[in-house]
Amino acid sequence: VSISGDEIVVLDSGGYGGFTIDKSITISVPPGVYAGMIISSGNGITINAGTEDVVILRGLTIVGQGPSYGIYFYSGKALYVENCSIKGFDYAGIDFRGPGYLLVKDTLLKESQYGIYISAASGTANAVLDRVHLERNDFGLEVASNGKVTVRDSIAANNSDTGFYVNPAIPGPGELNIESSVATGNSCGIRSRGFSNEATIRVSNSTVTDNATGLESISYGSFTGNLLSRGNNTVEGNTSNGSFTGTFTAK
Amino acid sequence: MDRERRISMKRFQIEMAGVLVIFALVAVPGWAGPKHYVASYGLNTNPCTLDSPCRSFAQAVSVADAGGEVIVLDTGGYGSVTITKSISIIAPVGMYASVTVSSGSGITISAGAGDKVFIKGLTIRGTSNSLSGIRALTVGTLVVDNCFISGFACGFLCGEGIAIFAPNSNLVVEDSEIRDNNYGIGIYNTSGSVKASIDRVHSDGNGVGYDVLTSGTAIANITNSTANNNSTGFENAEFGSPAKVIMNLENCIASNNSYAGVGTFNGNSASETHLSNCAIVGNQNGILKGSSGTIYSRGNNTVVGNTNNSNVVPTAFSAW
Repeated sequence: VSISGDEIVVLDSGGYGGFTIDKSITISVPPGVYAGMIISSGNGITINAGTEDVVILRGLTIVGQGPSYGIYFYSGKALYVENCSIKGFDYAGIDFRGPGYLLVKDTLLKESQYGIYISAASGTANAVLDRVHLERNDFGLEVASNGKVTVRDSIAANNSDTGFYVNPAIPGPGELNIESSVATGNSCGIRSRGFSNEATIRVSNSTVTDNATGLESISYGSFTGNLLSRGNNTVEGNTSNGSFTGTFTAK
Repeated sequence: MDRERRISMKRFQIEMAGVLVIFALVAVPGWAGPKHYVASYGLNTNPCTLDSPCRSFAQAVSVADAGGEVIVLDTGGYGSVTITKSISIIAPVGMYASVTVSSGSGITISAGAGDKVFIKGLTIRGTSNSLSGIRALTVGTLVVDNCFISGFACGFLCGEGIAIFAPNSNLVVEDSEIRDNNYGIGIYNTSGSVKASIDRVHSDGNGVGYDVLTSGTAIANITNSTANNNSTGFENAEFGSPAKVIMNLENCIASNNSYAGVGTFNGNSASETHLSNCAIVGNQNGILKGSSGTIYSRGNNTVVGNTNNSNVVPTAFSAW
């Protein structure tokens, strides 16, 4: 019933079903109110909006019982996900298909195949993750083709495959900057895989510990998995620490 | 413990209880007096008490004494307000309290030079015709805490999430989201000095995230904050000597800004921008220095992945 630009406010704790968004909208759940979506079929929130539409989701709990996506962003200008908890999806907690801009902050993503998956078939998927926890997924964060992502003050823990992963296929490179973050308890802490395109990860002021493999770089042919350090990271206490492929300098 | 001391202790406890009762009797009127209340079920003909709350911020602020508090009791929209004295407007955690305007400003402050205004927990929304979310024309100290402000976009040099014009004032912004305005936080004093402390703020999707454009002087300390997806993230500008701006950025992120992550457009060579522990990535221009002023770096910043990382080698400054 709402029109573009409206705000939907949740007044009290309760269960709210899955839905699709096709315009600018804000959904706000104030602190102290529990708005839970239990999703047994289909996606939690599907965003199929116009190129100038901004979608803001605040304070939601989205629980999957097997199906595909917690939040699936097909199209729109920007998506903000704040203070949300998303778990238990067969594919991804958040799947962001650019072009567009994604901000995730103060949010927990756990027990899905991908905590967050970011890519763009054309243009660029720009994203910032601030104070995000990625726990017990297969992959905490995967940045695929045409993704440019900055992560700060975030944790990838106990993911069964990889904590922070750049894995671009066709059509474009993937880039991830990690600042003041932690990768621990994963099979692999941070992996840069140049498969069908160039992968670049830059790491600063971060800790990689207690993973089976701390750091891993994989290159295929001319496509390099760049894994660069600013020289201010702690990479210790992994079964195999691995190594950076190069450095970049502080400025 | 012997019997006499037990009696003595008992007497002491009774006396202390009496003292506390007297304190409480004296203190209750002092606590109750300055508080006024608004609620979605309130009426503006009410006295704005806890039992009979008002409906709008404007009515509650008008009946409140200087230094008083206006407290939100439940989720609702409470309308725009003009403040002319020291006042606190507080929406406690657990409710959604909004001010929505289609033109003009959400909260206008024309208070005394020594007055303090505190805004906590509000959602303030505007449109393409709206002036400012919070517009401080005159005030001593303005504190904005835990607010969400978006959509103020009335045009070029117009449309700010928070704008402060007050000379010789203090601005504090904490834990707030400032989105989709023409200017996120603007410091625009034409004389005197503004001292701003901005901590844990996300200013995203604006024309300019943090805009210091003054013909007076200004010091802006911005910490643990982000400027993403704006045209320019952090802007340090003034109208030339004697105007002067010092902008200090600590542990900040500037990313995906379509023109510049950190841009200085100084006319005064004495203006300074200090960068420490910041990540400036994925912008068109990471650091863009104008014709004057100085950009300093502590040598601990990540400046990578911008189309143009920097048009200047920043001057080094040392950690202490």
